Amino acid sequence: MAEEIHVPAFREYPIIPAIVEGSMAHSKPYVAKPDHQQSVGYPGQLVDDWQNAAVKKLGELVSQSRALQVFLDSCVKCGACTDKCHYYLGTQDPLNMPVARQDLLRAVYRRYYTFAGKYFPKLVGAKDFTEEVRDQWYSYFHQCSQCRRCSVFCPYGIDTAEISMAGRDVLDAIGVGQKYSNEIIGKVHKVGNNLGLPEPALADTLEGLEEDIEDDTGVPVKVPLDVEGAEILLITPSADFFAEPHIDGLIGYAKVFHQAGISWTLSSFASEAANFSMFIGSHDNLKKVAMRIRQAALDLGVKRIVVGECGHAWRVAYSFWNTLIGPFDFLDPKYPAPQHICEVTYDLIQRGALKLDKEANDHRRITFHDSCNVARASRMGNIPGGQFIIPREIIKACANHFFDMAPETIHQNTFCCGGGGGLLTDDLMELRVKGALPRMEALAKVVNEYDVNTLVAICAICKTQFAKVLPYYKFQMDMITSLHQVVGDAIQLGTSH
Amino acid sequence: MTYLATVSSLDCDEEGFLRDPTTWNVSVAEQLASLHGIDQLDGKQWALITSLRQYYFSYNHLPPPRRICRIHEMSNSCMSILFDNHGIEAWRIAGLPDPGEEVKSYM
Repeated sequence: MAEEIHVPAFREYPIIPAIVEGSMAHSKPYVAKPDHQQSVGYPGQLVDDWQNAAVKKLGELVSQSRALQVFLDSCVKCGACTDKCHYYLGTQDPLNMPVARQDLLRAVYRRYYTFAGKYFPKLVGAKDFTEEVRDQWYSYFHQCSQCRRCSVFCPYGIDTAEISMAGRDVLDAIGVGQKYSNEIIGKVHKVGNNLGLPEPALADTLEGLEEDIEDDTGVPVKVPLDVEGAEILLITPSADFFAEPHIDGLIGYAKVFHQAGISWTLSSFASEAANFSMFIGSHDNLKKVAMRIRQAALDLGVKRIVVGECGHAWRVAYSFWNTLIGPFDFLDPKYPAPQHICEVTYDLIQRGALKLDKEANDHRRITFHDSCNVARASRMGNIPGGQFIIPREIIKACANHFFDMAPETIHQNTFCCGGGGGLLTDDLMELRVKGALPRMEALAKVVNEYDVNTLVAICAICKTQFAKVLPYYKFQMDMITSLHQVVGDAIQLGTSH
Repeated sequence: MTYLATVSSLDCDEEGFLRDPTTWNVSVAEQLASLHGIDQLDGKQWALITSLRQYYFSYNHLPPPRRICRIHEMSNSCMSILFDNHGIEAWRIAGLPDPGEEVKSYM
């Protein structure tokens, strides 16, 4: 696969690349099979009257969401968003300009739901929902990682993510869903996590991790499962049980809880923080997946729910859980519900409850990638911008060498890793490699200027995406590191504090 | 074309995973390995493949690659060192079925 993808060259200056029409028209993820579709409540294949069904579904979505209607009605074509999307910058396909992506859906909305579009469609760019339009939707709504960078620069605050979610929801409703997201959501409903990891395998994995930690440190740090009455229920992406470098993040959380003397547990029923239902705009699935977590918290009788390193999961938890699965009146009111693992670690550091040796990370020269859903769709702590400050302060407390990337590429301006929003599948590898260009350019600058050798992230999708795309840009795959691996390596276990 | 012909005779799915893991044997493993450019599996590779199969039949799931590496006292990334594509080829050569979208995204 590596030799087939043309990796875009770094730009010397951040110029807006020339348009190459149709350059990504061929990019389409695998379509969901009938059983994947049905497992998430959608028709197994393209329905007979798909055109009418799609128009009807679009009408329902617009009538249910005033935000969506405002986004569709208010664009003035000012052009501010055109060069803000990493997929446009990396692919040069004009339909990856946010305004053009929105217009794919806006044209159909206008045709069927506005006066001008019904009677004078050509005057207002309104279009019938034809097979060609349907194919374009499938292609280009799966070239949006729903990162919301464009919305930061839009004077009207139009959120392309909401529009691509609506587009995918309509496609699902007529039986044309995406295999990657829908297969995975179905697994969560059935087994409790994206991996489909059954309870005995999870228990064995965690036992193995405990052995590894004890082998490496000589300290019996526990990674508990299904412990009733524990103080904290940790909800973390299942990548943390399975893949590199995620596992070392989980080990880091375990060391934090161990040294702080906090009792905690994972749940085999709700062993997943990720909720891909957000990517496909499905409220019903969003709620059903999240409800497992409330159920697990009640069954285990915990006092707090803490969310591990997962970008979109933190958005779902921070922004949606309260209305989806709240109220959390059964949890300890002294703590935020939910709480991010970084908030927990930061608070413990502030209180001097963790003994940290920065020199343990002296081999690392670190930069930090702000993940989109943390940066632009949620917050941490009780100060504005806490989601930017807290992870960086944790790194600085655990390591001596930290260097930020250029300001226009971090904080709320952060560039997506290129694999978010349900696009982290190998059938979209060309898109993922090209979409990573702006982040890789920013990384290259700190690598050249400061010899940075470690890219820290707090999102499972970002970590997986970087592990795969870094080599395309001639970086080492193992540059990508979990924030809590940096924490875990600095913690002095077995010392009094 | 050679790839397709062999895959078809081995009854693999469209992504190259053997459909029925019980039809696997040493000869099948060798054929699958040659499809992935490995002329002869060495001792370490055989050890990992055998452990993958043992784990799969115990837990009905793919183990975290690190778990298998540790059993054999190899580095945490032994799978991606000894097999291409982050270790997913070891799974294919072990004759085990498609592990699903999420697992594949990490491999």
